[in-house]
Amino acid sequence: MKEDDLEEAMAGNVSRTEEDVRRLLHLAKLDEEDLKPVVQSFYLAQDFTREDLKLMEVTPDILNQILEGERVIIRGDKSDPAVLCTDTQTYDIKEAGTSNSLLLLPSVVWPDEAETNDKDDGITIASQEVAGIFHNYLELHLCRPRVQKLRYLMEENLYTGKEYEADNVDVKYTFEDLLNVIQASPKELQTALRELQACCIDGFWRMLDFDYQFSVFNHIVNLVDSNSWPSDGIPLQAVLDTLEDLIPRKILEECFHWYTEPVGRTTPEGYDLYRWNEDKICAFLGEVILRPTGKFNLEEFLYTWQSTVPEGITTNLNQLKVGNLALSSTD
Amino acid sequence: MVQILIRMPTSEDSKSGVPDWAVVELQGDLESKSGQEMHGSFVGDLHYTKKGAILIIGHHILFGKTVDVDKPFIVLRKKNSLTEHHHEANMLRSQKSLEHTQEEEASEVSVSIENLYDKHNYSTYYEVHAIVRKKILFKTRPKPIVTNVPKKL
Repeated sequence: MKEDDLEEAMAGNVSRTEEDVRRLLHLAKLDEEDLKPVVQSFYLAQDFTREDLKLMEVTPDILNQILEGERVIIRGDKSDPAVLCTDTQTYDIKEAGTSNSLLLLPSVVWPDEAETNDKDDGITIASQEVAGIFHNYLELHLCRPRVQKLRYLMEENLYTGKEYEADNVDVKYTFEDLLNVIQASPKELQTALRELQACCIDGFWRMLDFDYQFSVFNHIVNLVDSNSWPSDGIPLQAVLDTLEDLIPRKILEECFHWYTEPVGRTTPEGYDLYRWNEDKICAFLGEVILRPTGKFNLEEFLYTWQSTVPEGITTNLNQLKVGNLALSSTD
Repeated sequence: MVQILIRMPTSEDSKSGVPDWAVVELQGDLESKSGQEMHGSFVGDLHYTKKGAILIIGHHILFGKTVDVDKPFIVLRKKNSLTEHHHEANMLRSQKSLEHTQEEEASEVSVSIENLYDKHNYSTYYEVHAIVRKKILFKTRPKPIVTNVPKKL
């Protein structure tokens, strides 16, 4: 038995015959009795270096989302590391190399399909094409969304009041605009916007200028005082109706919800009632006081702070953790 | 920044959904013995036994079996939609280019966006061409087929 026999058995870009197949398996010292009757002969496609194809490893969850037509998008700036975003999550995309060869086959006969053939005691040869050979594939790793840019974008054009908007020509972003520039899923972007206390005004997402936010807060507090509403029985509807000429309704509503919690009761007419969220209000007012000065003697601060908050509310230092403030030991 | 959509083929492209393809995984590389063009050439024969699979390639015989992949693969095909009208125009550019500071070290294996889209073609998207859920895995090293009986010394 010579090397040539093997060469011969392996030859042929034309379809192989039963004889060819038998010759090869005998050379390989295989016993036909042990083998199932369907044999598959693999051929490389004419263009098996498929530059237009990529293999990506996903999760069953992501696969389902794609199959159901949900948005799955790769996002990034030119030289950014790419991420893949579903509606709710973000994944780093990495290239995994393998020393193995991955042959990609559009069609294959699986073992349970190879049991029987038409012939009684022959073998059936199925020719199968290898569409491509791969040595690497794309892998997905769940990661945190890259939302740090968001604050920077929002601060480019803070909302300072209805009066200033007519002349406002600085850049504004809709939700879709933001998805264009932030590597995050829609849900993660929503969460980030909420954490920044951004509001959607006329379709654009805006962060409020801090002083403006304070003035909105004051309007609400003063309204509550002047109506002598109890601090645990504030009607949202009345606040919106009364103040909406001064402050866009959307902003009023957002701000209101930042500093209140539902009580679970309603007015006789059926409007929801709310109470002050003490911790959030104290944290906010603490920041109001500290902002202009940067540093404040602790005792003086505590005094000022307590006298600033609405009646019935008690400050305490733990509330400052709610906001973005730090307590230094020298103060 | 770019957004590259991964989508299912439209109904014109595929009448019956996305097909299941298979992967045959083996150690090493396929090479042409004589340096000939490999396009269209015969690779080897795949046989099934009761327990597994046997692949005869060139001078080698490999033993393996059919397994479900741990995580499914999708086969993505790069396309462009210059000629198609889709509301989600697949490559949206932002109006201004932003200063970008890299938040983390780009590791060697991160894929940069540049690798995934055509610079001169602003409407790249990827279509799911096929799904791979099963593979035939040949984990063992290929065994050479011995054809010559050594001459007596």
